[in-house]
Amino acid sequence: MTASRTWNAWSCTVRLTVDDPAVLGAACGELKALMDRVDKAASRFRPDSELSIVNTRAGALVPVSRLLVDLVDVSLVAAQMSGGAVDPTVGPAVIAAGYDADIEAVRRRFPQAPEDPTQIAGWQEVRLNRKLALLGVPKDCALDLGATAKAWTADRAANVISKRYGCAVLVEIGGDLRAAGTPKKPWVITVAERAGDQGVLVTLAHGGLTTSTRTVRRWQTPTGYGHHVIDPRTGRPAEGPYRTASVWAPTAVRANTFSTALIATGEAAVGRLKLSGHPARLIADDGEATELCGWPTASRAA
Amino acid sequence: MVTTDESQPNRRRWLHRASAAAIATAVLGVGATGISVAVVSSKHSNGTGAGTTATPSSSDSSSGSSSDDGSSSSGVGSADSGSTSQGGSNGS
Repeated sequence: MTASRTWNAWSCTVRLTVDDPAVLGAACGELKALMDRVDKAASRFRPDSELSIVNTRAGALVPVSRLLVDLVDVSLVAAQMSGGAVDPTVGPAVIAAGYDADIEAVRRRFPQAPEDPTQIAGWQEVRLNRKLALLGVPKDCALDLGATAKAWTADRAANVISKRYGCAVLVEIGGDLRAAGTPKKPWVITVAERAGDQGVLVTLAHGGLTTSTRTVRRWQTPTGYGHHVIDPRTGRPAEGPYRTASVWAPTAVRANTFSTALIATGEAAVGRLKLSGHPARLIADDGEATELCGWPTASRAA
Repeated sequence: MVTTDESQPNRRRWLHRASAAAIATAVLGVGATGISVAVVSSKHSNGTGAGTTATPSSSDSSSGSSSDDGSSSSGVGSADSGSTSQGGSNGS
Protein backbone atom coordinates (compact mmCIF):
# COMPACT_ATOMS: atom_id res chain seq x y z
CA MET A 1 0.00 0.00 0.00
CA THR A 2 1.34 3.42 -0.92
CA ALA A 3 0.70 6.86 0.53
CA SER A 4 1.37 10.18 -1.15
CA ARG A 5 1.36 13.89 -0.34
CA THR A 6 1.52 16.80 -2.79
CA TRP A 7 2.33 20.47 -2.26
CA ASN A 8 3.77 23.44 -4.14
CA ALA A 9 7.27 24.80 -3.64
CA TRP A 10 9.96 26.38 -5.80
CA SER A 11 7.23 27.33 -8.34
CA CYS A 12 6.54 23.68 -9.07
CA THR A 13 4.65 20.67 -7.79
CA VAL A 14 6.34 18.52 -5.16
CA ARG A 15 5.08 15.01 -4.48
CA LEU A 16 6.36 12.39 -2.06
CA THR A 17 5.15 8.79 -2.28
CA VAL A 18 6.18 5.96 0.06
CA ASP A 19 5.16 2.33 0.31
CA ASP A 20 4.74 2.55 4.10
CA PRO A 21 1.93 4.98 5.02
CA ALA A 22 3.11 5.10 8.64
CA VAL A 23 6.25 7.05 7.72
CA LEU A 24 4.69 9.51 5.27
CA GLY A 25 4.44 12.40 7.75
CA ALA A 26 8.02 12.09 8.95
CA ALA A 27 9.29 11.61 5.40
CA CYS A 28 7.50 14.77 4.25
CA GLY A 29 9.15 16.61 7.14
CA GLU A 30 12.56 15.39 5.98
CA LEU A 31 11.94 16.51 2.41
CA LYS A 32 10.60 19.93 3.40
CA ALA A 33 13.52 20.52 5.76
CA LEU A 34 16.03 19.62 3.04
CA MET A 35 14.30 21.84 0.49
CA ASP A 36 14.35 24.70 2.99
CA ARG A 37 18.09 24.27 3.52
CA VAL A 38 18.74 24.11 -0.22
CA ASP A 39 16.62 27.23 -0.76
CA LYS A 40 18.57 29.19 1.85
CA ALA A 41 21.85 28.05 0.31
CA ALA A 42 21.21 28.22 -3.44
CA SER A 43 18.15 30.29 -4.31
CA ARG A 44 18.83 32.93 -6.93
CA PHE A 45 15.72 34.85 -5.87
CA ARG A 46 16.53 35.27 -2.15
CA PRO A 47 18.89 38.16 -1.46
CA ASP A 48 19.92 36.49 1.80
CA SER A 49 20.87 33.17 0.23
CA GLU A 50 24.51 32.14 0.18
CA LEU A 51 24.45 31.98 -3.61
CA SER A 52 23.18 35.57 -3.87
CA ILE A 53 26.00 36.71 -1.59
CA VAL A 54 28.57 34.87 -3.73
CA ASN A 55 27.10 36.40 -6.91
CA THR A 56 27.09 39.87 -5.34
CA ARG A 57 30.74 39.48 -4.35
CA ALA A 58 31.83 38.19 -7.76
CA GLY A 59 35.59 38.28 -8.07
CA ALA A 60 36.23 37.28 -4.45
CA LEU A 61 36.42 33.96 -2.64
CA VAL A 62 33.54 33.70 -0.20
CA PRO A 63 33.17 31.19 2.68
CA VAL A 64 30.10 29.04 2.13
CA SER A 65 28.38 26.09 3.77
CA ARG A 66 29.21 22.49 2.99
CA LEU A 67 25.76 22.17 1.43
CA LEU A 68 26.48 24.88 -1.15
CA VAL A 69 29.86 23.29 -1.85
CA ASP A 70 28.05 20.05 -2.66
CA LEU A 71 25.49 21.81 -4.87
CA VAL A 72 28.12 23.72 -6.82
CA ASP A 73 30.28 20.61 -7.07
CA VAL A 74 27.38 18.70 -8.61
CA SER A 75 26.72 21.54 -11.07
CA LEU A 76 30.36 21.49 -12.17
CA VAL A 77 30.28 17.71 -12.63
CA ALA A 78 27.13 18.16 -14.74
CA ALA A 79 28.89 20.81 -16.83
CA GLN A 80 31.84 18.52 -17.40
CA MET A 81 29.62 15.53 -18.17
CA SER A 82 27.58 17.51 -20.72
CA GLY A 83 30.57 19.09 -22.41
CA GLY A 84 29.51 22.52 -21.14
CA ALA A 85 25.89 22.29 -22.32
CA VAL A 86 24.64 22.51 -18.72
CA ASP A 87 26.70 25.41 -17.42
CA PRO A 88 26.06 26.98 -13.99
CA THR A 89 27.58 30.31 -15.11
CA VAL A 90 24.59 31.17 -17.31
CA GLY A 91 23.14 33.36 -14.52
CA PRO A 92 23.59 36.71 -16.36
CA ALA A 93 22.16 35.18 -19.57
CA VAL A 94 19.06 33.92 -17.73
CA ILE A 95 18.55 37.40 -16.26
CA ALA A 96 19.12 39.02 -19.67
CA ALA A 97 16.46 36.71 -21.11
CA GLY A 98 14.01 38.16 -18.59
CA TYR A 99 13.98 35.49 -15.87
CA ASP A 100 15.18 37.79 -13.08
CA ALA A 101 12.57 37.02 -10.43
CA ASP A 102 10.21 34.26 -9.35
CA ILE A 103 8.51 32.89 -12.46
CA GLU A 104 5.04 34.00 -11.28
CA ALA A 105 6.26 37.59 -10.90
CA VAL A 106 7.88 37.48 -14.35
CA ARG A 107 4.62 36.26 -15.89
CA ARG A 108 2.50 38.93 -14.16
CA ARG A 109 4.46 41.98 -15.29
CA PHE A 110 4.18 43.85 -18.60
CA PRO A 111 6.03 42.00 -21.39
CA GLN A 112 9.61 43.23 -21.72
CA ALA A 113 12.02 42.76 -24.57
CA PRO A 114 14.98 40.53 -23.66
CA GLU A 115 18.34 42.25 -23.29
CA ASP A 116 21.27 41.52 -25.58
CA PRO A 117 22.89 38.14 -24.90
CA THR A 118 25.79 38.16 -22.49
CA GLN A 119 29.07 36.33 -22.72
CA ILE A 120 29.05 33.13 -20.68
CA ALA A 121 32.07 33.04 -18.36
CA GLY A 122 32.25 29.24 -18.50
CA TRP A 123 32.12 26.68 -15.71
CA GLN A 124 35.90 26.28 -15.78
CA GLU A 125 36.22 29.78 -14.31
CA VAL A 126 34.38 28.88 -11.10
CA ARG A 127 36.74 28.62 -8.15
CA LEU A 128 35.64 26.05 -5.59
CA ASN A 129 37.86 25.06 -2.68
CA ARG A 130 36.12 21.99 -1.33
CA LYS A 131 38.36 21.53 1.70
CA LEU A 132 38.11 25.12 2.92
CA ALA A 133 34.53 25.59 1.65
CA LEU A 134 35.35 28.71 -0.38
CA LEU A 135 33.51 29.68 -3.55
CA GLY A 136 34.28 32.39 -6.08
CA VAL A 137 32.95 33.41 -9.46
CA PRO A 138 34.56 35.80 -11.96
CA LYS A 139 33.51 39.47 -12.06
CA ASP A 140 30.32 40.09 -14.05
CA CYS A 141 29.40 36.43 -13.61
CA ALA A 142 26.63 34.83 -11.56
CA LEU A 143 25.83 31.22 -10.82
CA ASP A 144 22.44 29.71 -11.52
CA LEU A 145 22.06 26.24 -10.02
CA GLY A 146 18.47 25.83 -11.17
CA ALA A 147 19.35 23.03 -13.57
CA THR A 148 20.87 20.68 -11.00
CA ALA A 149 19.70 21.76 -7.53
CA LYS A 150 16.20 20.31 -7.84
CA ALA A 151 17.49 16.99 -9.12
CA TRP A 152 20.16 16.86 -6.40
CA THR A 153 17.50 17.50 -3.78
CA ALA A 154 15.31 14.70 -5.18
CA ASP A 155 18.27 12.32 -5.16
CA ARG A 156 19.37 13.24 -1.67
CA ALA A 157 15.88 13.14 -0.15
CA ALA A 158 14.98 9.80 -1.74
CA ASN A 159 18.20 8.17 -0.54
CA VAL A 160 17.94 9.56 3.00
CA ILE A 161 14.26 8.73 3.45
CA SER A 162 14.61 5.24 2.00
CA LYS A 163 17.54 4.37 4.26
CA ARG A 164 16.21 6.04 7.40
CA TYR A 165 12.71 4.54 7.24
CA GLY A 166 13.47 1.35 5.35
CA CYS A 167 10.86 1.94 2.67
CA ALA A 168 10.59 2.46 -1.06
CA VAL A 169 10.19 6.13 -1.90
CA LEU A 170 9.43 8.26 -4.94
CA VAL A 171 10.39 11.94 -4.77
CA GLU A 172 9.08 14.27 -7.44
CA ILE A 173 10.14 17.93 -7.65
CA GLY A 174 8.83 19.55 -10.78
CA GLY A 175 9.96 17.34 -13.64
CA ASP A 176 12.66 15.58 -11.60
CA LEU A 177 11.81 12.16 -10.17
CA ARG A 178 13.96 9.88 -8.08
CA ALA A 179 13.02 6.39 -6.89
CA ALA A 180 14.97 4.77 -4.06
CA GLY A 181 14.48 1.59 -2.08
CA THR A 182 12.93 -1.56 -3.45
CA PRO A 183 9.23 -1.27 -4.26
CA LYS A 184 7.23 -4.51 -4.53
CA LYS A 185 6.17 -3.38 -7.99
CA PRO A 186 7.81 -0.66 -10.08
CA TRP A 187 6.22 2.76 -9.80
CA VAL A 188 3.90 3.74 -12.66
CA ILE A 189 4.79 7.18 -14.00
CA THR A 190 3.12 9.54 -16.44
CA VAL A 191 5.68 11.32 -18.60
CA ALA A 192 4.23 14.52 -20.05
CA GLU A 193 5.36 17.88 -21.36
CA ARG A 194 3.14 19.73 -18.91
CA ALA A 195 1.34 18.59 -15.77
CA GLY A 196 -2.14 17.49 -16.78
CA ASP A 197 -1.21 17.05 -20.44
CA GLN A 198 -1.60 13.77 -22.21
CA GLY A 199 1.58 11.80 -21.74
CA VAL A 200 2.91 8.26 -21.86
CA LEU A 201 2.91 5.68 -19.07
CA VAL A 202 6.13 3.96 -18.08
CA THR A 203 7.29 2.02 -15.05
CA LEU A 204 10.15 3.21 -12.88
CA ALA A 205 11.90 0.60 -10.72
CA HIS A 206 14.86 2.66 -9.57
CA GLY A 207 16.97 5.67 -10.52
CA GLY A 208 16.05 9.10 -11.82
CA LEU A 209 13.58 10.14 -14.50
CA THR A 210 13.53 13.80 -15.51
CA THR A 211 11.77 15.89 -18.11
CA SER A 212 13.11 19.25 -19.30
CA THR A 213 11.14 21.52 -21.57
CA ARG A 214 11.02 25.06 -22.82
CA THR A 215 7.21 25.01 -22.96
CA VAL A 216 6.42 25.38 -19.25
CA ARG A 217 8.70 27.86 -17.49
CA ARG A 218 8.10 30.60 -20.06
CA TRP A 219 6.71 34.13 -20.20
CA GLN A 220 5.34 36.61 -22.69
CA THR A 221 7.70 39.01 -24.49
CA PRO A 222 6.88 41.60 -27.18
CA THR A 223 8.07 39.13 -29.83
CA GLY A 224 6.62 35.90 -28.47
CA TYR A 225 7.47 33.65 -25.55
CA GLY A 226 10.72 33.72 -23.65
CA HIS A 227 12.06 30.71 -21.73
CA HIS A 228 14.81 29.89 -19.28
CA VAL A 229 16.93 27.17 -20.96
CA ILE A 230 20.07 28.92 -22.16
CA ASP A 231 22.36 27.66 -24.90
CA PRO A 232 25.81 28.44 -23.44
CA ARG A 233 27.28 28.67 -26.94
CA THR A 234 25.17 31.74 -27.78
CA GLY A 235 24.10 33.10 -24.41
CA ARG A 236 20.52 33.15 -25.72
CA PRO A 237 17.49 31.00 -24.90
CA ALA A 238 17.92 27.70 -26.74
CA GLU A 239 16.42 27.34 -30.19
CA GLY A 240 17.30 23.71 -30.86
CA PRO A 241 15.13 21.13 -32.57
CA TYR A 242 13.75 19.63 -29.37
CA ARG A 243 11.27 21.38 -27.11
CA THR A 244 11.01 18.59 -24.52
CA ALA A 245 13.32 15.77 -23.43
CA SER A 246 12.72 12.98 -20.92
CA VAL A 247 15.68 10.86 -19.78
CA TRP A 248 16.21 7.96 -17.39
CA ALA A 249 19.57 7.57 -15.59
CA PRO A 250 20.78 6.00 -12.33
CA THR A 251 20.33 9.36 -10.59
CA ALA A 252 18.07 12.34 -11.12
CA VAL A 253 21.10 14.64 -11.43
CA ARG A 254 22.49 12.57 -14.26
CA ALA A 255 19.12 12.29 -15.98
CA ASN A 256 18.54 16.03 -15.63
CA THR A 257 21.98 16.78 -17.01
CA PHE A 258 21.15 14.93 -20.21
CA SER A 259 17.56 16.18 -20.52
CA THR A 260 18.67 19.80 -20.01
CA ALA A 261 21.60 19.39 -22.42
CA LEU A 262 19.27 18.05 -25.10
CA ILE A 263 17.08 21.15 -24.85
CA ALA A 264 20.04 23.56 -24.56
CA THR A 265 22.18 22.30 -27.42
CA GLY A 266 19.92 19.90 -29.38
CA GLU A 267 21.70 17.51 -31.70
CA ALA A 268 25.07 18.26 -30.12
CA ALA A 269 23.90 16.46 -26.97
CA VAL A 270 22.40 13.44 -28.73
CA GLY A 271 25.84 11.90 -29.32
CA ARG A 272 26.72 12.03 -25.62
CA LEU A 273 23.31 10.58 -24.75
CA LYS A 274 23.82 7.64 -27.11
CA LEU A 275 27.27 7.02 -25.67
CA SER A 276 25.80 6.95 -22.17
CA GLY A 277 23.05 4.57 -23.26
CA HIS A 278 20.38 6.23 -21.12
CA PRO A 279 16.83 5.75 -22.43
CA ALA A 280 15.31 9.01 -23.66
CA ARG A 281 12.20 10.38 -25.30
CA LEU A 282 12.52 13.60 -27.31
CA ILE A 283 9.71 15.78 -28.64
CA ALA A 284 10.60 18.00 -31.57
CA ASP A 285 9.15 21.44 -32.23
CA ASP A 286 6.54 19.93 -34.52
CA GLY A 287 5.45 17.44 -31.85
CA GLU A 288 7.15 14.40 -33.33
CA ALA A 289 8.39 12.02 -30.63
CA THR A 290 11.72 10.17 -30.91
CA GLU A 291 12.59 7.35 -28.53
CA LEU A 292 16.25 6.44 -28.03
CA CYS A 293 18.51 3.97 -26.21
CA GLY A 294 15.86 1.52 -25.11
CA TRP A 295 13.06 3.83 -24.07
CA PRO A 296 10.12 1.45 -23.63
CA THR A 297 8.45 1.45 -27.02
CA ALA A 298 5.27 0.01 -25.63
CA SER A 299 4.75 3.06 -23.41
CA ARG A 300 1.14 3.99 -23.98
CA ALA A 301 -0.68 7.27 -23.91
CA ALA A 302 -1.98 8.22 -20.49
CA MET B 1 78.83 -34.49 35.38
CA VAL B 2 76.46 -36.58 33.26
CA THR B 3 77.87 -39.40 31.25
CA THR B 4 76.27 -41.74 28.77
CA ASP B 5 77.13 -45.06 27.34
CA GLU B 6 76.95 -43.79 23.75
CA SER B 7 80.14 -43.89 21.85
CA GLN B 8 81.58 -40.76 20.27
CA PRO B 9 80.77 -41.76 16.61
CA ASN B 10 77.14 -42.49 17.51
CA ARG B 11 76.76 -39.11 19.18
CA ARG B 12 78.28 -37.39 16.19
CA ARG B 13 75.91 -39.27 13.85
CA TRP B 14 72.90 -38.25 15.99
CA LEU B 15 73.93 -34.60 15.99
CA HIS B 16 74.44 -34.72 12.24
CA ARG B 17 70.96 -36.15 11.65
CA ALA B 18 69.36 -33.65 14.04
CA SER B 19 70.98 -30.69 12.34
CA ALA B 20 69.99 -32.01 8.90
CA ALA B 21 66.38 -32.35 10.08
CA ALA B 22 66.42 -28.79 11.46
CA ILE B 23 67.70 -27.37 8.19
CA ALA B 24 65.10 -29.33 6.20
CA THR B 25 62.32 -28.04 8.49
CA ALA B 26 63.52 -24.44 8.07
CA VAL B 27 63.74 -24.73 4.28
CA LEU B 28 60.31 -26.32 3.98
CA GLY B 29 58.83 -23.75 6.36
CA VAL B 30 60.18 -20.81 4.40
CA GLY B 31 58.96 -22.38 1.16
CA ALA B 32 55.46 -22.99 2.48
CA THR B 33 55.27 -19.44 3.82
CA GLY B 34 56.29 -18.14 0.41
CA ILE B 35 53.61 -20.20 -1.28
CA SER B 36 51.01 -18.97 1.23
CA VAL B 37 52.00 -15.36 0.66
CA ALA B 38 51.78 -15.89 -3.10
CA VAL B 39 48.29 -17.39 -2.84
CA VAL B 40 47.01 -14.63 -0.57
CA SER B 41 48.54 -11.97 -2.85
CA SER B 42 46.89 -13.41 -5.93
CA LYS B 43 43.53 -13.47 -4.13
CA HIS B 44 43.83 -9.76 -3.35
CA SER B 45 44.89 -8.72 -6.81
CA ASN B 46 42.26 -7.13 -9.11
CA GLY B 47 42.31 -9.93 -11.59
CA THR B 48 44.55 -8.12 -14.00
CA GLY B 49 47.63 -8.96 -12.05
CA ALA B 50 48.40 -5.30 -11.57
CA GLY B 51 47.31 -5.29 -7.96
CA THR B 52 46.27 -1.64 -8.15
CA THR B 53 43.80 -0.05 -5.80
CA ALA B 54 40.78 1.66 -7.30
CA THR B 55 40.20 5.23 -6.19
CA PRO B 56 36.92 7.08 -6.50
CA SER B 57 36.57 9.72 -9.17
CA SER B 58 36.24 13.33 -8.17
CA SER B 59 32.52 13.28 -8.80
CA ASP B 60 32.03 10.22 -6.61
CA SER B 61 34.00 11.73 -3.79
CA SER B 62 31.85 14.81 -3.48
CA SER B 63 30.11 14.31 -0.18
CA GLY B 64 26.40 14.38 -0.28
CA SER B 65 26.22 14.23 -4.02
CA SER B 66 23.69 12.06 -5.73
CA SER B 67 24.72 8.49 -5.12
CA ASP B 68 23.51 5.57 -7.18
CA ASP B 69 21.57 2.57 -6.07
CA GLY B 70 24.44 0.60 -7.52
CA SER B 71 22.45 -0.43 -10.57
CA SER B 72 23.03 1.08 -13.96
CA SER B 73 20.55 -1.18 -15.76
CA SER B 74 17.63 0.70 -17.18
CA GLY B 75 15.01 1.45 -14.56
CA VAL B 76 12.21 2.28 -16.98
CA GLY B 77 9.88 -0.21 -18.57
CA SER B 78 6.53 -0.57 -20.21
CA ALA B 79 3.47 -0.03 -18.05
CA ASP B 80 0.70 -2.62 -18.14
CA SER B 81 -2.52 -1.46 -19.65
CA GLY B 82 -4.95 -0.45 -16.96
CA SER B 83 -2.26 0.51 -14.44
CA THR B 84 -2.78 3.72 -12.47
CA SER B 85 -0.18 6.46 -12.50
CA GLN B 86 1.54 7.01 -9.15
CA GLY B 87 3.71 9.96 -10.19
CA GLY B 88 4.56 12.26 -13.03
CA SER B 89 7.66 13.49 -14.76
CA ASN B 90 6.31 16.70 -16.20
CA GLY B 91 8.39 19.25 -18.00
CA SER B 92 9.88 22.04 -15.91
